[in-house]
Amino acid sequence: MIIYNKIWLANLSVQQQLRPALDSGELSKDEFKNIEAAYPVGFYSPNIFVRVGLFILTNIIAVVFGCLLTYMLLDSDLIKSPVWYFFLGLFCYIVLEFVVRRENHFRSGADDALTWISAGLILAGFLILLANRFPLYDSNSITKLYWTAGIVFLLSSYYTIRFTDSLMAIMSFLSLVFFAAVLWYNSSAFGAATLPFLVILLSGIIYYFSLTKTKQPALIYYQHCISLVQITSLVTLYLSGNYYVVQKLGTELYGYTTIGPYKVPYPVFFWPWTILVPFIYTGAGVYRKNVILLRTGLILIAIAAVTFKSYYHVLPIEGTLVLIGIVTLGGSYWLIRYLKMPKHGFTYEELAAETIPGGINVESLIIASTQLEDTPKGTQSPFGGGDFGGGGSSSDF
Amino acid sequence: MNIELYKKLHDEGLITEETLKKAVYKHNNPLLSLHWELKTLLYLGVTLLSTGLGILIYKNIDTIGHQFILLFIAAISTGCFYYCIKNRKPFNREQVKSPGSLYDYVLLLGCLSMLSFLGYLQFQYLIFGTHYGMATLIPMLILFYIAYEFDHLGVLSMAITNLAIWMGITVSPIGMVADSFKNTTPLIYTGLFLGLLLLVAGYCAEHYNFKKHFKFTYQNFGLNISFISLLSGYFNDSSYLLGYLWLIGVPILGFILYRDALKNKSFYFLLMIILYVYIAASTFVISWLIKSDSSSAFVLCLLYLIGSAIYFVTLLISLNKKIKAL
Repeated sequence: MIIYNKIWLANLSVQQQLRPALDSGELSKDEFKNIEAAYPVGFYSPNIFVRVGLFILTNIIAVVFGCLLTYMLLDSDLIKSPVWYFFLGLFCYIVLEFVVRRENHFRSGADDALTWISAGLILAGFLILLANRFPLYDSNSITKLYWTAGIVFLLSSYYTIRFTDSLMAIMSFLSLVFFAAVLWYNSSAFGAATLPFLVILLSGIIYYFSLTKTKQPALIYYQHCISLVQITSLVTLYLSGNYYVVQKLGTELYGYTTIGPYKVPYPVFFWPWTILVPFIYTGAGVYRKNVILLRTGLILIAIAAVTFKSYYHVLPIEGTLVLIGIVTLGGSYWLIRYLKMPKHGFTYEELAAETIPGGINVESLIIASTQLEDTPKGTQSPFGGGDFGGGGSSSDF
Repeated sequence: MNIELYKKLHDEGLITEETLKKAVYKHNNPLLSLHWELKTLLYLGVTLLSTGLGILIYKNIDTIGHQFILLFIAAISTGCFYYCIKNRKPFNREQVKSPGSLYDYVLLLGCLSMLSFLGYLQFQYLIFGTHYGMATLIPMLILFYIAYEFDHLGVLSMAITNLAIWMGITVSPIGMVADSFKNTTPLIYTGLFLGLLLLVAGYCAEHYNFKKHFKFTYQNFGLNISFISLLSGYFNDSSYLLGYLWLIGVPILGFILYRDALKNKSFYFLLMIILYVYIAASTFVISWLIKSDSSSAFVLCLLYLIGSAIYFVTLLISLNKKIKAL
């Protein structure tokens, strides 16, 4: 099913696994060169600048070419029918297959762009087809939702399997959850009342399987897709129990009922969930040395804090900021000092210098782009805000 | 870490016994780096704290008073510079490695708070009066001095930004009043002058081997400012003959910089140059085609876009190969 040369994919995986060791200096450059020669990769995967450039240019070419074809057929009825979108989408897809198979493009920008354009056009064809079948605000609009979610799921799953595209994997996961949620919500009154729990359960199951059952050799080419699905499922697992999300969604779905505005049921469950789950993620991440869990947890802690703050006003905003600032600053400073020498398998030292290929200093670019707006202009009010341009600017480029 | 992979590679004779031993040791004693997490938290803490303090002071300005705040900002700035002077390495024409990332941030904080201090003084007490040129010139000179003295690229970027503000302030009121605010041409000339000046500064930095690594920053600013000035000059005067003069400037400047970028193997600059030249060429071709206002001209425009974009793709790929082969 995979369109790519499997040997090259496996070789690429070998090289990628060894790259951190090369960066940290455990593996000598000669050794890595030997490995590269023994495990060759023939893909065309240029650096990030070329990739972005090719992505934009492919988009321009596709859009203008589509315009040209449509313009030539402007008078015919063909372009009003969904067939036209299917035709354009399939055309892009054939070009994509050609680019990948004949030219060996792999994450080159051109294939990324064609993936999304062809998928988008085919989806647009289906949506127009659906719109013709089920007019808007019809009693069938729920059926339309099933169909849309189902088609997105099938399409993105196909692209995930064939092109091992990680964003498509996320799309596939989200559309599946959405499909199940719509189905459950409409099944019965019980389903409508327990919607958050279904999403929690589903995300939990998917996370569990993506964590434990994915070491099989058949899935070796999909490891990056799987890690992204893990992150997404962790986020949906948390968000579907987040108090703010539940309330907003509940108000959206049920609105003002006869017994007054929508109230979140079981606050005994949802508040602890909102506050505790991010800490559980972080703790489990530290305990199991799982970077995905750790980072997701840290970000979700911030979301939990914002959620709490938007319901309970314990302190005025400046007091909160100062307090959290002091705690974060003090805590991270203390941890940095504490971990100067590695302890319990953790360290503050950078194990591998992360550099972007292409030979420029990224940090100095970021500084240059942010400072243009941030520099106090001499005659302005000094309270411009607390923006940080970033530092560490004395590294090489 | 996949220890089986290392064993396999060792059996194939691709890695030495020693590397395998290191890998096995690392596998048995896994070490997780929290570098980025902790650094992010540190910055977050600083940002939250400074924002909170800022709001706190702002709300209580009546009871605190301006002098106290000025004193506070000055104390931060002085403290930062004191730390930097104490920890700095001696000045050198070459690149001086910074003692650590903390040092970089402290220096940056010192400069920012110095700017706030001067800005506050000007805003509250008008120490420079209405001599806005003076109010921007002095911070700029100090920033340039600090950038060279302490070897900091971030401060250099700030200094260059201040230079642009100073030149803009010096030029724009005069030109705009003279033209009753209709014409922005003086600003375009200033922009072009500034851009070329920065490019020359970058060239000199390399040629005279004086802080060679500053060249990238100078060139990055200079290239963008010059090209944007040239292009806006063209858009401004596109109906006159002068417009074409601006337009011719784009490929000329592009060619000079192109050779320099090839020499330095900088793909980033190559990409920027090609992009600007492409924008110039495309606006020229399309505006010329659209003049005839017919449907065939529209089709020709589309064909031009397709053809040029495909050419651009092949150019990008071949240039990437060329740079790698150098």
